[in-house]
Order: sequence, then structure tokens, then C-alpha cells
Amino acid sequence: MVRYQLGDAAAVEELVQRLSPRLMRFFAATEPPGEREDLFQDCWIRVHRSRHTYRAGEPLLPWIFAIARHTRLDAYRRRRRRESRELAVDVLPEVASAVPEQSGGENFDRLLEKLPEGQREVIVMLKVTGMSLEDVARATSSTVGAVKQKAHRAYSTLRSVLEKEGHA
Amino acid sequence: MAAEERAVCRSVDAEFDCLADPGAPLSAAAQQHMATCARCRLLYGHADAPPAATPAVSMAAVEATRRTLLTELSPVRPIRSAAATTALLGLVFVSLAIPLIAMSRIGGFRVMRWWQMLPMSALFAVCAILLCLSVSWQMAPGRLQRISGKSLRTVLAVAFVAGAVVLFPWQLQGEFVRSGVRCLLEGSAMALPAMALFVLLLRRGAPPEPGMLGSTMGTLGGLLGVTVLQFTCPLQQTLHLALWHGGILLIAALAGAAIGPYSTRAGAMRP
Repeated sequence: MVRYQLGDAAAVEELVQRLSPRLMRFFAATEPPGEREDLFQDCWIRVHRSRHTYRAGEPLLPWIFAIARHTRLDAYRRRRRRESRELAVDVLPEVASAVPEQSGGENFDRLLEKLPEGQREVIVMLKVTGMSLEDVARATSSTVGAVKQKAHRAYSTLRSVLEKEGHA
Repeated sequence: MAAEERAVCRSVDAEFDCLADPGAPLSAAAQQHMATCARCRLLYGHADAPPAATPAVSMAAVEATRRTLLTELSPVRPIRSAAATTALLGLVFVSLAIPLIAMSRIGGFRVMRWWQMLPMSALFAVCAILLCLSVSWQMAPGRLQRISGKSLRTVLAVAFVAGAVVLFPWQLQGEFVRSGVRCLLEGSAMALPAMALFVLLLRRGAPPEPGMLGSTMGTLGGLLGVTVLQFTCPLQQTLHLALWHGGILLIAALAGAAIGPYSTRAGAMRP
């Protein structure tokens, strides 16, 4: 990252190569398929614009994921705004889902969809991208205590979801 | 699910709840149970999923990203460390507060007793240090915030009002509204330019939450105004302090939150 700040092209290539899979994993766990690549590219552009804010010696992953998280939040807000406008113009009658209900808890991603945004994000960072509590706190501009609390709340929600689905 | 198995699941839940780090691995017994229990594997075993589950990044996306970054690549100077930023903000705070107190009438010094002056000075000093720290944590992504900006502002407001209630008399003297409005205007006139100076110092930052950073900077500016007024205002009464002096903190925090999103360099974090 320090070489990147100095303008070293090889460092850019190495960084993109090494971190892209982790970033894509993060976006894949939180975003619909059609938007992942756009967010991925937007995130790298933000990383590039903010590269002067990285300090040598500080952990890199939380810095990158803080930017990724913000990219995702902005996209989420844009999507919500767009959806609310669309609903205001054209209210469609509710149609019963044609997709048959899946049997309980077949995959973790589907289970995560049941969580509120903040809790889902924390679980994705902890379990999917494998970050530590402190790293997640850094990435979410939060405190370690708040992250711990969100994770435990998320697990309580997941347990009750599984219970309703007949897993316990 | 059998009652026995359910009981084991509950014990795994309990073990997980006791972990200091929810990302840490569970005990060997729990791992053994997870091998046979779909529910617990689903809840706690995701980190051990094979890397094949990771979605592939399309080569086109990586290539496009790489090309964009390389065309705009130039050397940049890193921003100051959190400690250096804190020290700088603290220095600016002190170098503004001392001359402003010296230039104003020092009615507050004459009216306050030592047992009022000492706790209030300590309160302002601690709050100023914490706000400077919070601002420097918030100005760049990925910095650990040991206290959240929101909690800090709440604690500051509560501590200030509590100090005013406990240490100062309730009786009203003089013209409550006229003198109050004068203090509010004077304090705001000190807070807002100070905030503008803080914004100038932090213009190279890329805060993940610019509104929150702006609000914290505003509170720091407001605290400067309140500190100066504490030593210069002759009306040292609970209601006057809590309402009119405390109002400066509120006005400055709101003004900061409004300008926060426009305060950093070319919107580095904006799309």
C-alpha cells in the first residue's frame, strides 16, 4: 500500500490481484448478483481516491473494507430511493410468490437475508471474510463492544429463524 | 430433532455466546457435534466453508479496474497520524481559547469559586481531548473508534448540564432572555469560525461518515465557545448555563452536521 501511495504501478497490480477475491466475496454475500461488479469497480475507484488516508503500519483490511462498506451503503440508499419512487408512481397488486419455499436453512447466504442490514454486515465480515472483532470495528467505524453486541443479536435472530423453520 | 440433540445444540449456543470473539473457533466437542448437526453447522461452521464457495471475479472487471487505477496513478502524501491530528487540533483549541478569554471581560473568573472553576475546567479539558481524538479517528476510514462520536456528544451534553445543575445556583439574576441571547450569539460567533478552521485542517480526510465527523467538529467548535464564555460570562447560574451556553453546543453540532458532507477534499468517498 505504501508503494501504491508512492505511485508504483506494480503495487497497484499486486493489490488488485490479492484483494479482489475478498472484496467480491463481501459484495456477493450482501448484494444482488446484477450489482456486484459495479460496486466492486466503484469500490476500487474510491480506494484509489482515498489512498492518501492510509497510514503505514495500520491494518490494511479494515481500511479497504471500510471503503467497501461505504460503497455498499451508498448503493443501498440509492436503491431504496429508487424503489420508493417506483412504488409511489405505480403500486402493483401483491402476487403470491411462484417460487416454492425452501426447506429451512439450506445455505448461510439465504439465512443472512433474514437479518437487518447492520447485523448482516457484521456477520459477513466476521464469518465470510474472516476478519477479527477489532478489524470489523475499524471497518464499520464502530466500537468493539458494539460489534460484539450486533453479532450476538444476529445469532439470536438466526437461531429463532431456524427454530421457526423446524431446525430445533 | 431429538430432545438430546436439541440439548447439545443449546450447549453449543451457550458456548458460542460466551466467546469473547464471535469469529473465534468453538471447542473440539462443539466441532464434533457440528459434523453431525446441520443446524449448528449452518450457524457456526460457515467460516470453514471451502474457498470454492467464493464467487469468481470476472477478468474483465479486474482488468477494467486495473486500467482505471493505472491511468490515474500518481504519488500522494499520506495524511497525518491520528496522534498528530489530535495534538494539532488540541493546540489550535488552546491557542484560540486563551487569547479569546484574555481579550474578553473576565466576569466568570470573578463570579466562580474554586470548587466551581476546577471541575468545570477539568470537564472542558477532558471533553476537548476526547473530541479531538474522536475527530482524528473519524477523519479516515478503518481507524478504531474507542468511543463513538454519537456517544461522546451525548456524554458531553449530559456532563455539561449535570455540572451546571450540581455546581451553580438556580436563582435567576439580571435579564434572563436578553443576556442569554447575547451569550448564545457571542458563543456561536466564536464556535463557527473555529469550526471552519478545524474543517480547513481536516480537508484531506476521507471520512466514512462525513455528517458525523462534521457534527463532532461542530461540537468541538461549540465547546471552544462555551469554554470561553464560562470564564467571561458574569451570569453563572444553572438555567443560564444549561440553556444558553448549552445551546451553543447544539447549534454548532447541527451546523457541523450540515457542512460535514461538503467539508473534505473533492468528496474522496463520494461515488
